[in-house]
Amino acid sequence: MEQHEAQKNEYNIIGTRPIRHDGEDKVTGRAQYGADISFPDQLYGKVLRSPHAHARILSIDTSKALAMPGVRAVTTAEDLPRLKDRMVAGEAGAENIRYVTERVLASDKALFEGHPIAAVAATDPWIAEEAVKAIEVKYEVLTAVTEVRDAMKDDTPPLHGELTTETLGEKSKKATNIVRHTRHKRGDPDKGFAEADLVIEREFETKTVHQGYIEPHNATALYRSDGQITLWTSTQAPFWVRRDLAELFDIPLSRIKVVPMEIGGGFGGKIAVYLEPLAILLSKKSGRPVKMIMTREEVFYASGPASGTVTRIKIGVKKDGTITAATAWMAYEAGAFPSNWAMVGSMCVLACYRLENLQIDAYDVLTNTSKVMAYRAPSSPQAMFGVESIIDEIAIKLDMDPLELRLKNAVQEGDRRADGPKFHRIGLKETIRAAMESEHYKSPLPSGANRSRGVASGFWFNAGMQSSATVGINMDGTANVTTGSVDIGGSRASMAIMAAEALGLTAEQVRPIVADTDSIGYTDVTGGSRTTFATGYAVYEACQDVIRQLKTRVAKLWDVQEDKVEWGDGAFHHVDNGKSPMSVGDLGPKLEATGGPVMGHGTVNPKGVGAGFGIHIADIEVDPDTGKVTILRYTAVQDVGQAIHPAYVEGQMQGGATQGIGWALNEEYIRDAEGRMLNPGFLDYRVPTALDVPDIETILVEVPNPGHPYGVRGVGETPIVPPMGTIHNAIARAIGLRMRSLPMSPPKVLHEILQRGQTVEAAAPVTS
Amino acid sequence: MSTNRMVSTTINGEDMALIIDDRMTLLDALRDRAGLTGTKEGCLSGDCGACSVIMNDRVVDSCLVMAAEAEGAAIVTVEGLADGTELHPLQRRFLEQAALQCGICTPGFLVTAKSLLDRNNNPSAAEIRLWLAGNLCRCTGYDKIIRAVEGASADLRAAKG
Amino acid sequence: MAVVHIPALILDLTDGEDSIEVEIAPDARMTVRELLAEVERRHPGVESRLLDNGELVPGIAVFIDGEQSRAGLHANAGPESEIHFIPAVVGG
Ligand code: FES
Ligand code: FES
Repeated sequence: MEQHEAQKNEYNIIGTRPIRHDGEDKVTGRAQYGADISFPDQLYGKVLRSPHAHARILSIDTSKALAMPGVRAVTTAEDLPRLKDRMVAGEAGAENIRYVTERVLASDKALFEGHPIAAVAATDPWIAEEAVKAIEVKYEVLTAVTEVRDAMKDDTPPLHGELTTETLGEKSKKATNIVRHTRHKRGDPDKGFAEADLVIEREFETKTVHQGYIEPHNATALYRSDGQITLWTSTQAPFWVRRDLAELFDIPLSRIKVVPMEIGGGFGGKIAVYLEPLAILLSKKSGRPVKMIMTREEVFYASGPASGTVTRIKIGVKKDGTITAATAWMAYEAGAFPSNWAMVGSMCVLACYRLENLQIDAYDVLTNTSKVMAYRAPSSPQAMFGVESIIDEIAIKLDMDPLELRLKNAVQEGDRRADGPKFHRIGLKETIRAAMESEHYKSPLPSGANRSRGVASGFWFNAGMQSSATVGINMDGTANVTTGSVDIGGSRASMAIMAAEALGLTAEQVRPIVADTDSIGYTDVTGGSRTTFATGYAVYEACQDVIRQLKTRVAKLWDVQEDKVEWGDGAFHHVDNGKSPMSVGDLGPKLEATGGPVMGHGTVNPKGVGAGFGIHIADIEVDPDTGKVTILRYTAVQDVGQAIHPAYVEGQMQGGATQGIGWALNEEYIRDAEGRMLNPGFLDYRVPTALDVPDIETILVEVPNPGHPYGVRGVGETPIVPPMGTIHNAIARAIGLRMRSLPMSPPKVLHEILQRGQTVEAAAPVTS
Repeated sequence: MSTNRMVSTTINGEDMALIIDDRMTLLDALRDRAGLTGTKEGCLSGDCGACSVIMNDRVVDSCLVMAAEAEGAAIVTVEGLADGTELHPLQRRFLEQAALQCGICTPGFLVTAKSLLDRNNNPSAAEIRLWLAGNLCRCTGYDKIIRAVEGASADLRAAKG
Repeated sequence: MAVVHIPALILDLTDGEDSIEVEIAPDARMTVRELLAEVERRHPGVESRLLDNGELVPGIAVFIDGEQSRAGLHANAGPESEIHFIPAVVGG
């Protein structure tokens, strides 16, 4: 581990690797995930989904289904309140509640394959399935448009008759599929390009991809006769689910309790509501708990994947490698309802480079596909892929080391982001240097034909947002820490570590709890790499509250003024050393006699979020006969701030890199001319298996974030960004082919090899 | 229409009689009839391995086996790996080496890895990867899983002496 | 001098000026809403693109000195402050 800044190494618990508190239950099969909850009288719900990517719904006849023995309820869009246009908080900014309603259950148009039309609850899942088939729907099939380029054409009919393009507060006159145009501009790009010695402009394409969490969406709902609703579900954001449901049903938040079950992966895809409102409607009608689980096919075509994109990137440099200007044009698939992912991508695309002259234009585009949702560092991978390719091309043309070129142009504290604000303390330069110094990068290039090495960088903002925590001190001096942040990958352990550090306990003496929405204060999503940062901050604050209260107790016990009591090194001390120190453990048994229980509260909405940067290095080999790319060696380097539990930090980097490798090499939605997905299964979609990826080496660069009491910086998202560029650049250097369309799958690579004939560009090895 | 029948099997060493619906998979029967929800569902098509169990000494995707086929079979699920309060070395290593993040794939990996180690107590990393290729993990990137299996295999060899 | 950065898409309303300086006395404070009103006075039309019924247009956040401000239009700016109007981002 690389360590920066002097304040380091003073921690007792932070930086150690205790066993996670929920681990035992997860290795013995006892942990309760969403699908594991059952009630004796539960019904099973199934969804009727549109087989067409675009169709007008002429009629829905549910009478035959309702008449079937065992069917207890059928619901359609008619059962949802028809709400007026109103912008409500959404996953990537605000969204119109009318579209949320329409997405959950289609009323007059099916806008994507898998769009829910109706749902059924029955006494067993087979009856529910039969009943779904017995619902008669008449459609008028319309032309589906699933590619961004097609959807943007002037003569393509708009999906929603009334939607116009929003250009910062102004709407276009004409209805269109372009939801929004975002622009960032600085300096004079034309002048910058004129000053350049080398200008490269290229177009890139990426396909729709899915988060691919192994656990399908699920929801179990109970609507009581008094109108109280309890929902058990696997979600990253129980409080957001509650908010969305309250908006959809137009009821107070206090009527809904969301119980977050253990969650089998999310990566941004388990934030929006899908089955939840359907289960509630069915429970309301039947008076019984209703359990619903998506099939894998449903997950693929009807949850929220990541945008397919088209980008055009142009970068100009001086002979010495200084970038003089850059422009980006980007179009992102929004899915069937307005979303903001191009807007987000526009803020990532040039984030790694110091630029005087730039212009970015980004377009969010409606398509007949399921609404795009967040996927780990959402929008950044597609945006940065093209930039990282061109930077590598420039390095080759200028005969510069590609990391040297990046270092020369890297942003640091005080430099402006492309969208304007200045960066705070960031560690991109430290990360690039660590990559240059790494054993991997210094090792000789892999020997043999069609082999080489690639590098690329990645960026993610990381998020702050609101979190709540309580800390209760037990009578023996151990502690319970309760938060509202779902534990998707070991965050209970991080919370316990930070509380233990703050209270002078061991990680094992702290019991971390994830509470439901009735039992803890408001807490935003587990996502945006914010949990360890913001919820950790709330835990820290709650612990400080505990220390304040305990100080009073110590003063009482010592019969001194409070200002004579000091906290430090995990214990209370008398400032004049007149007493032997007291730890939290010592105080536990004395609480009752000194005033009763002690409980600390922490609520935060913190500033000081630290952005994350990473560099990946890959050695690869291309098989010229099959087009298959094999990764020989892979290293992920990242500024992780202070690593709280290094094993889970490494795990985030390895997991993110692997998702990125899948995105780079194999994963894509393949659709037919009617807009139907042809590969809605793990194997056909090609999620990487243990055979597809090598060991992933990790180098943790620790540049503490001054905005957090323990220096925490978000970690989880950045590592999915560099792999596409890294592997793309390695392929280019191995066989001289720039694969500008993802995925770089064997058929596509082979096709390019065959197209090229003999030689075009000579392979250029990385120097090291 | 449904037909129910009784299936007698041995699950984790205990004889059990389960009343099952003929349309049920072994996965359904384990989860909904035997109450053993440690075996997970990820795809129902044999692609992900979350539902892996050992049936008569072979790893199977329980979503692809009909419950009725379990008649007379001996089945081991994740709930059967620990020996009383003593975790299996694989379980311990998964915990110590952070080989799980969300944990939904973990039961399948543990069961599949156990069947590997039952056969071969000193597999190479490549053999482990090959054996586990039918189990998908979307969180960890596999690295720490492979390391944990290596660790458990060393533990098992050490215990044998 | 507080500096209000003008989003690229409405530069036509400020004759291409991408940052507008507003005098704030030392120790004094102005809310972002007040700053915007001042910009509007000099360059009519800006406000109507950033505000909708008196509130920020959906999806746009106020950043002061590189930090997203939770208080939005009510946030206080000082003489050295830099104000941006840019999209709010969460993540996955
Ligand atoms: S659920 Fe059986 S293999 Fe996926
Ligand atoms: S730990 Fe989440 S799928 Fe493996």
